Amino acid sequence: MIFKKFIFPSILIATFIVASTEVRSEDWRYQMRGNLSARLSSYTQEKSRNYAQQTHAQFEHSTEFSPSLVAINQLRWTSNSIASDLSTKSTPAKKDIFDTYLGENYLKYKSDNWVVQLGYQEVVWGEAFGFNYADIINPKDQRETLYSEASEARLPLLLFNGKLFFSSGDLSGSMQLLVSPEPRFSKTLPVEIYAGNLIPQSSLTVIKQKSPAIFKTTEVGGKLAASYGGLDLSLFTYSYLSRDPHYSLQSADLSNITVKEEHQKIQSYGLSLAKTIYDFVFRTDIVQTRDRMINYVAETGELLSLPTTSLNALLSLDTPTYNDYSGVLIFAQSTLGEVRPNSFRSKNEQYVIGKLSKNLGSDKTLELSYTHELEHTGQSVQSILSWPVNSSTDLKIGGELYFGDEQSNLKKLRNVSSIFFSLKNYFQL
Amino acid sequence: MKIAAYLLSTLLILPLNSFAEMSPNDIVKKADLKRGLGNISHSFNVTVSDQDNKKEIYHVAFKDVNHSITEQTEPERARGRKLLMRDYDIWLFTPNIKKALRISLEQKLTGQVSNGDIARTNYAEDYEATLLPTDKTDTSNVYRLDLKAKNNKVTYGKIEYVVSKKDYSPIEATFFALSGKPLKRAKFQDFKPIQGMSRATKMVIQDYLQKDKVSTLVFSEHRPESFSDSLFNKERLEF
Repeated sequence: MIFKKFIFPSILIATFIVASTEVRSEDWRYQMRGNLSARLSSYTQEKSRNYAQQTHAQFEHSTEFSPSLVAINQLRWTSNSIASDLSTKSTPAKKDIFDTYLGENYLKYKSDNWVVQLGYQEVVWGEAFGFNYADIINPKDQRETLYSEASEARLPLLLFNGKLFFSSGDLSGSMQLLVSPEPRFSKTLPVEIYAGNLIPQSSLTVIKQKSPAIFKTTEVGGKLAASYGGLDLSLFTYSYLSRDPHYSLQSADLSNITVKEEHQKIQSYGLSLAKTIYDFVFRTDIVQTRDRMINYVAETGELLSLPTTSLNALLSLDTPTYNDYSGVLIFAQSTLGEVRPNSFRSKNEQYVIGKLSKNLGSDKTLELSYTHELEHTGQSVQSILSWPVNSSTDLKIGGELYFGDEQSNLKKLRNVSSIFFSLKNYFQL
Repeated sequence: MKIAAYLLSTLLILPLNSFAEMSPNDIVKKADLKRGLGNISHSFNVTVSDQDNKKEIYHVAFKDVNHSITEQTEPERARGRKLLMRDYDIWLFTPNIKKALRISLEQKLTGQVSNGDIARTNYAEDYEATLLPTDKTDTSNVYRLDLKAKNNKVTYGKIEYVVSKKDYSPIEATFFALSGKPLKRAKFQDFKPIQGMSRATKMVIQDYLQKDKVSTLVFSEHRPESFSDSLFNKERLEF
């Protein structure tokens, strides 16, 4: 079992070691690079949990055996206190997170008309950014997404990733096949964030479901993409184990409830479009997912789940730059086919997001973002000043505030309302 | 007889257009060749620095006027950022977003530099030129040209272009938005022999209103190079 779990990382690390030592060729090219980041937050909501930390490190070694064959090896480290900061209950898992793990580790072979990558990778579909319903392939560390870029929260997945390119006149595009023999799950926020006040017990125990052993379950999907006449279009599908868990009740008494995480097979179908009109860029992502399980609390008090279909759609508009100002307007809606009373999720979730960015010169930018949740009124305001202090270090200072009705998703995040300061350093050895 | 042969050969090697009036578009075509290798497949590097001496380096793979890829190599934080230009479509790939996103030509790449300033620089392809009338007392040895966008997909609505009459070297350009608002002014400098012709290796771009905002582009290492068509595919940028 242990051997199977580590077989692919072992092969990839062996490739890295071989590439770095024994059979080093004069023609091979090597590069070591990475980044270190640290963020300190001061919460503005609860005095008892006044400060939070978040740190990241990534080391990457790339070996170019030839212009066609490249190996990438990454090692990552992360720590944060977000899970404990958000939790409102006493849980055994309520502690800071310290993780060291392998990041992207793969071999890439590319020819003129096709590319194949084998190993742990991150693959992102869709045309939108900042709010991406089509980013379905990789699991995420959702304990971080409130704070950090999706790129830092994305977790690599073992994949065969093959892409065939085509081009004819003004038409260009690709066909992509993804196969994963080792599904992995997202790392989620405490369950009561989603359950709200539906779980009355004061303490909660969650039994995690381990991801399946390699080759026990296979995920398969593909994407067909084409660009023609100022329009980008892609159609995609992926059959996979749900990245987010639903929960089954194991035991409960007046003070404690024990639930078990479960992940079922689901299938997503999607369409993405992007079109330039004058200097505006329109983007849309539409993703339908079948057999998603949504938890609810039955009239008898039992914790149950219901399979349903979700339809997520996003429309966004990027404005041109005017007097150093640029903006993005996003409308996003997520609808479930069927929900029961006391469900962990509303039937409809709708958000309107406006982002305004001001270029302050010398690559300094000030970003203001406002999110309005429509179904249950909730609001979020974020501001970030990004300041590249020198060629290798970025400074960010900002704040974020979540508020609204008790039922709104944004109000559930009120405990992370904070002001923050972060530094990120990039290096190359 | 020798004198007659000499005169005949001299007449034959003189360019015919020195006897004919050059059309404004031909002047722009000749000036374009003084800013790059023209419409032949080649690669080059661009070093962009601003008024605070912040430096960025790009490597450009230029197949033809409608196909180019610009990849950032410095600073480290932006390494691997790629800009694909295919006709009037442009996509940006950043390693942290991990996918290529469609953007507009007008969006700023860095400092005073727009995406189109690096990726789409053949003015003759995108603009219709007319000669601006000059005062008879104007003794300067330059053409003053008004370049109007052939369509609304290009980077600028209008360019006022100053080109040397002597050798068609570009001297200065003022760029205007589609609305007619002046945006910035560029000066072409440091002409050096590259691939058999004297060409500008430096472009200094200054904001039209805030004169202290300056970006300097230095072009280097031009070399003819052939590229496969499949390289200029949005779906390939992530690899």
